[in-house]
Amino acid sequence: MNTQQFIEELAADFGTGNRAPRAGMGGARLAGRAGLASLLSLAVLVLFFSRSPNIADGPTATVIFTILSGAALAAGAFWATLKASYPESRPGLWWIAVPLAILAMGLGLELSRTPSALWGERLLGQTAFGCFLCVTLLSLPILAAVLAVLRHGATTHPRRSGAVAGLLAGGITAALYTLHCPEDSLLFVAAWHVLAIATVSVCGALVGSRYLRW
Amino acid sequence: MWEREHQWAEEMRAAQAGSREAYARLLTDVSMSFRQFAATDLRRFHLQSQDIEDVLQEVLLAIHLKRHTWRNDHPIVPWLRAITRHKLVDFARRRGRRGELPIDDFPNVSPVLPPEPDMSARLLEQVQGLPRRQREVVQELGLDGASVADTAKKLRMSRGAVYVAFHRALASLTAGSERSGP
Repeated sequence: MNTQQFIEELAADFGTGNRAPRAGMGGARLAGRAGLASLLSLAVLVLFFSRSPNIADGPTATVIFTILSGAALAAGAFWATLKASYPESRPGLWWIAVPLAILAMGLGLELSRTPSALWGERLLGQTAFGCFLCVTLLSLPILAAVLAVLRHGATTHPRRSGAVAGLLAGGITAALYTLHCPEDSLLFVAAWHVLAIATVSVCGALVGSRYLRW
Repeated sequence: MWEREHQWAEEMRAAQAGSREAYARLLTDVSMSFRQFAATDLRRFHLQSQDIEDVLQEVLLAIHLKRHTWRNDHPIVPWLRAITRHKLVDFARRRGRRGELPIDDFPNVSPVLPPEPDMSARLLEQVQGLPRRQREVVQELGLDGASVADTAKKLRMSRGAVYVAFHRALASLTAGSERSGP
């Protein structure tokens, strides 16, 4: 096909279709889709999971630090995801330092308050595998929604963007999961929730490297 | 090569405001820059001169399909460059995977290959696997030999949409045949 002819056809197509141009994509679409998917995970948590004893009499320090670091992770990942959907930008990863610092602060506090003999017990907890599995699974609807938004965009770094999408989903879920998580130890959270988030991020990278191609 | 930020951004803004001419002008300008750049930089991307128009059309299609990702208060050149680079790398990678070598290196090899017996059957099967719109377009345009205008009228699509669907179908058919191997 002649290139000039092709250009004429593309020009005729400019204003049609659901990809008709708008001034930027903004965060509204991402926030909307990720928010809806988060509501789904939240509904599952509220309806089918017991309430955590750690929030009954006001949230414990564990709950507060978990929510803070999860929210910080989600906020950074939200920004990076938004950036990633434009072809000319490569999302940085420096913001991961913020939730890690919050988590480290909380951990320091917890370790200074508990005798070291109990650390191992707190780290392993009673529900390690269940928590890991639940956080991972509850993240998946959010991950799917975020990946769909990214696909509408034009990332030139599919694998990295997928990984960031996983961090966004995992951060939200980790914060929500405090509603149920029966363990009152940040050591436990740092081990198992973080492992779950990392798993979701790896899933995002694997799926992204194919699904986000264009 | 990419020093025309202001002009191109204006053209794209005009296109967003509804000017087809401005959009065609932008794509034509980009094509000319691309050809210049590609002619001097072929080797870096493992391209041969006969690839230039193919890659260019892929780049133009990508610009078109992702045109909603340009924010009109941002520079357009980095955006165009990123898309171009993405497509070039993609093309070079596919080329590398196929392990194609310049035919000039093998002057005695006939470029005409004997037709593969089960080729058409497999191709038809792959056409069946395409999304409905693309399948219809390939059927009309590629197999029945209808014109773009007639196909557009019959399927009630714009002519541009027919081209886009056809291009996409060809791309996924090519990808499919690479995956299943020759």
